[in-house]
Amino acid sequence: MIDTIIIERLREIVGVKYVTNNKEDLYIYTKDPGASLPRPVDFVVMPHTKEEIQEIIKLANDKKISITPMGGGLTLSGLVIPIKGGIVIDMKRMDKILEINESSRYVVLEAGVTIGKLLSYLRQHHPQLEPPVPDAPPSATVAGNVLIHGSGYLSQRHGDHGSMINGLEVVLPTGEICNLGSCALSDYWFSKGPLPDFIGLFTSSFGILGIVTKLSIRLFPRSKYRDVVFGLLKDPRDIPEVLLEITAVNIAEDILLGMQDKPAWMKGYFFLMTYITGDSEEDIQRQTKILKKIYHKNKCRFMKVPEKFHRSYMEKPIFAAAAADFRKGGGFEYVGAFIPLEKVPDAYLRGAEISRKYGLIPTIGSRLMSGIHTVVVFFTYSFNRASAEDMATARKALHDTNKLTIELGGIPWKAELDGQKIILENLDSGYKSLLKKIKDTIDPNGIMNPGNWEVL
Amino acid sequence: MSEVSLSDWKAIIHRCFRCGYCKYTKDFSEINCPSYKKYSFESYSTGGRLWLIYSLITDELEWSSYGAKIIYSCTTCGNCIQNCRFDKFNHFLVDFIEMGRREAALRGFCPDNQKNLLNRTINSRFYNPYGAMHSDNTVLKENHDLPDEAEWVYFIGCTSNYRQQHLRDSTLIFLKKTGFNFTLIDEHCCMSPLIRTGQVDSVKEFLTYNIKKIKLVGASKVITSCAGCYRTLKNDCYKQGVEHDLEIYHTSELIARMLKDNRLIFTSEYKKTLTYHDPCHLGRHANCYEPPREILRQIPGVTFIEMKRTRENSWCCGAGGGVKIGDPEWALEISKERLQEAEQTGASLVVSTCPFCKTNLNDANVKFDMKFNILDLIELIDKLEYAILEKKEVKFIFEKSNCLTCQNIDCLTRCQYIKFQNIEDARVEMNKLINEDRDSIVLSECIGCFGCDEYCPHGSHPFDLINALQEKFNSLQCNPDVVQNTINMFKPHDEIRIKQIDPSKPVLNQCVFAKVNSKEMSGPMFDNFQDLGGRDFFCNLIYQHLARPSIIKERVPIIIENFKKMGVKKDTEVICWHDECYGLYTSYCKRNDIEQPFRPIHILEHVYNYLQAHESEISKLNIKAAYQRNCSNRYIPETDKWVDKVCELIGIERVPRKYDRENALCCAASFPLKGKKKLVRPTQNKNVEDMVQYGAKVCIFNCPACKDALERKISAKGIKSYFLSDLARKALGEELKY
Repeated sequence: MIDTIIIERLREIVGVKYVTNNKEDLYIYTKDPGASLPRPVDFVVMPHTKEEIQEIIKLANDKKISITPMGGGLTLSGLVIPIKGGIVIDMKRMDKILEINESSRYVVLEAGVTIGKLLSYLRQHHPQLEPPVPDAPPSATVAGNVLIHGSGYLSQRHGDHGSMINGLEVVLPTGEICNLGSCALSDYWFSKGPLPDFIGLFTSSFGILGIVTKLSIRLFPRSKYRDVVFGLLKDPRDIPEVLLEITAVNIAEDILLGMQDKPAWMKGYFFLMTYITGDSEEDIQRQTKILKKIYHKNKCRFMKVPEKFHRSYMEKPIFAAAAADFRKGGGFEYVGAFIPLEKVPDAYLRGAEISRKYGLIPTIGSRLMSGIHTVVVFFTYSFNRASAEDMATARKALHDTNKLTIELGGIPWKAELDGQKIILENLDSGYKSLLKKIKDTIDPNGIMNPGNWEVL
Repeated sequence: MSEVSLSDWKAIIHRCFRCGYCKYTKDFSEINCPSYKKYSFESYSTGGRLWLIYSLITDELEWSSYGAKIIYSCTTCGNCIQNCRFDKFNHFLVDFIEMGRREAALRGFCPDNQKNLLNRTINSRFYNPYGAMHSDNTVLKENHDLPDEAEWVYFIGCTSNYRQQHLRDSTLIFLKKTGFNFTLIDEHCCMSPLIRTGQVDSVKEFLTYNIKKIKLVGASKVITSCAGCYRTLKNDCYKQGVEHDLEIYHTSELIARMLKDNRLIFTSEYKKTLTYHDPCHLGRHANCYEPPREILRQIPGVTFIEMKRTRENSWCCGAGGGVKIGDPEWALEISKERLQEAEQTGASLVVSTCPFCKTNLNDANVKFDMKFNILDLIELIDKLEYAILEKKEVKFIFEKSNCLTCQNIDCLTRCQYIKFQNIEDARVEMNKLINEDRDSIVLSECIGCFGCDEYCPHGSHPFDLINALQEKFNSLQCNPDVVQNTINMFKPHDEIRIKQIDPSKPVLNQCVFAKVNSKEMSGPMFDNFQDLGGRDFFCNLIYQHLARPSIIKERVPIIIENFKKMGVKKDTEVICWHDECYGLYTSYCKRNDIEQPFRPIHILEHVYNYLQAHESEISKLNIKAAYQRNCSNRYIPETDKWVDKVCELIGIERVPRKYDRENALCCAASFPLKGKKKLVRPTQNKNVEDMVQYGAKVCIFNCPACKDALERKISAKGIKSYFLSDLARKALGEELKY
């Protein structure tokens, strides 16, 4: 009965076409390609405006039903699979690119705009500008990426993608709307501050404090020439030194690292990929020479790679999802660990041990962020979605890796429920207490994606 | 590439990661999946549908009418196949959906409208999904005076025979006029509608019946005017377990081929602005994009403008996959979107190559009062006047009698490297060659440029004789170590790793240049091709330079077999990177009685077509260039026109220098191998000075060996070296990475 009332009301709010509670439609919203177990969803609704979202929130408060906002659904860690059922708000109909400011280099867009759409739009209309691009497929949303502190293209030079937010429009769990950043007092969405920084409340909080409906992110000039220079290391202990030297000369746009035991020729090596940009081919050649020297000096062998390999690394976005088919099973999840540089060798060595312990092929990658201030290490686990056993093994490996991350002094990124639990167990009690107070104040009925960051 | 079989589909389907590439156009600019665009829920994307099917076949969810609705709400247009990045199984995505429909049909969940397709088709009064009274085509045969036996069968298809008869009749008229030896059969439905809707019980029986009928009239080739029949006969038969060795052609392929061979010429004008709609069956599912365009471009008076979404990115007409019968209103909405896109081109005529597309586009045209004229390409051709030209037969085998009676002995008198006092001197040498006299100076002096083959007016291929005698008498005295090393270096492996290709899609044969010249083969022009290269697919004509033609004879059958092992079929398009490869498959094979294993495409033809398709993106280069025509091109002089066409499109003036075209000079790269090192410098100097004299600012190549040999010398004169394909990329705004 209550379901009928809710669905009727939802239909009134967004239109009949954009609400479903058919189990066949709900199915794909109950799981993601990661290793989390499926969790039930009661309704999926696709609003078109912030006013519709306000109405949905009012309904949820009224009926004490949970709400989970969803972008592309590609976090892999189950963050948009509701923990306590309820309504999934699929944001894809809010897909307008509202403003490009070429002068202050930002874009204002609705929260359902995908990375693919933004990339394509800029290429067509503002080819001199580039957005930050995560290593996720193009169906990931811009909002989803920046709100989980995403990383990817331009992270080394400009920081994690969360730091590229200039402003947000948020519908709070009470239905109120607030603008954060310079847009709170200006027509220009150009800057986060200087104001008390509430934008931070909505990043990596996984939708527990409100629904972002509009946002502004920074854009960057597109370089005329871009290339990637590959290097090969034998010993992970040599990694920090070579990275310190590369970042000291300040030429790297992005820096990636990777190791995997398969195919056999890759086993035992650590691959270094340094992206450089320039105004001319000569500029690129000059920087390549500098890198080759640094590589050589630091026991890192310059590596010429086949063109296909090279091309795959030049793509935007990089097709990282390829890893999902490593075990021919369509499943893929990883612990993204934000760690300090000095812990990178340990992370690789001990991460590989975890994989081997569970009979998995060690496959670890990483990205440098903000100069060298953070390294995000991806401990990846591909699995067969058709095998419950395989998925359980992946969950165990993820569990051990979350623990390892904490041991290394790091922070698991966009952590799944188990990871959040491990973080909370180790988190400063004052932090936890503040988080609970904020949550209880902003969301008195506990309707927003409950179960995440749950401080009891 | 495929490493899995469709029969294992239940064990593969869960490999979809639902990353979502399948939803968009290639550049992500638009949602290009009709059902996802309409319904928006993730369940209606390809990924969502596959996940749903998986949940149903594993009993995680129960079968239901609504579940079936999701599975059937797909036009099977194949946009997902084009954009899915998982190339181990992406070619199966539509098959997975059709398999899901089979499962639904087995359990009684095939929607009622779609069930009608089956009921009518298996009814012996109809044998077609429209429920029209069956025609055995006897009357048509009589009316068009068609024989009982013929080389070709025109497989009409149900839509053309019962709904779009004008299209059928236009095809019949064309085939009669052009003199095809063809007939008709008492055909039953090709079963495309039933395969698409998962109702496959009778499919095998019908396919077998049709193939048997075709064989009974003695035909080995089939022509269809329906994209659906074409795809089914070409691709689906083997998937359904019905094998055949028939060659299947769509009308557009045949007509394009005739135009290319100069056997057909349009003699009247058609002054209209038109656009072309790619049928999914013909385009995405059979990779046939260019032939209709080649035809449209050659119709005098036509202004052909592409729609925003074309080829792999085309927006479906909405009729396919059972949607036209299952949800007719939605089918028209999809067509409406296509026609709105056509409106943006300013065209008054929309041309397609599928009777079913035509039907649906026309229905939308009427319903939404869009005021277009919608025609099938063959109907458009029916409105034109055209002439059929005699096919020129070319002799490929060395013909002694021609040489004995030859007036001018062009092969020797025009040679740029051996000088004869007069024609009688040349005749003496010619007689020596014919009599296999080892003392002929031609055998020792010939530098192997193949010019004689091109100069011969009889098509006798004198170089084949010269080269065979050079080997027999070891006339060139090549360094035996070099010869042996080269023979070993390019020897095909005893066993090759099978990497199955999709024969309906083009293959790029990079010869042995893939590794050394990777940057020249990159960029969008060469992306997304299946590639076969390396020594197992090497043309081996290099051994002509070393006077070892026997090695070629020995290895070519192995190479051809290797192509076959990979799944390359006779009508697979193989783009040959190098002139020598193209020359092997088009010239060498023919004159040595070796069956051409596939449809070779010259690299510059591909470049030209690509440029045509992206004409609006071209920025003319406006440069003067010398062309270094490579010797291998002398086997295939007919392809030299592509150099001119490409140059014209991208704004290159091919300077009319002395050493171009038939007077081209060899780059001299192979001279040292033949003990003719002393000839290298004078030949190259002559060549480069000629470039300078004619004001060339760049030198264009189509052969990596020529480029390597001449680049430094040319550069010293301030002339830059480029492959022509790379200049084409540059004209399209691509940055060259070397």
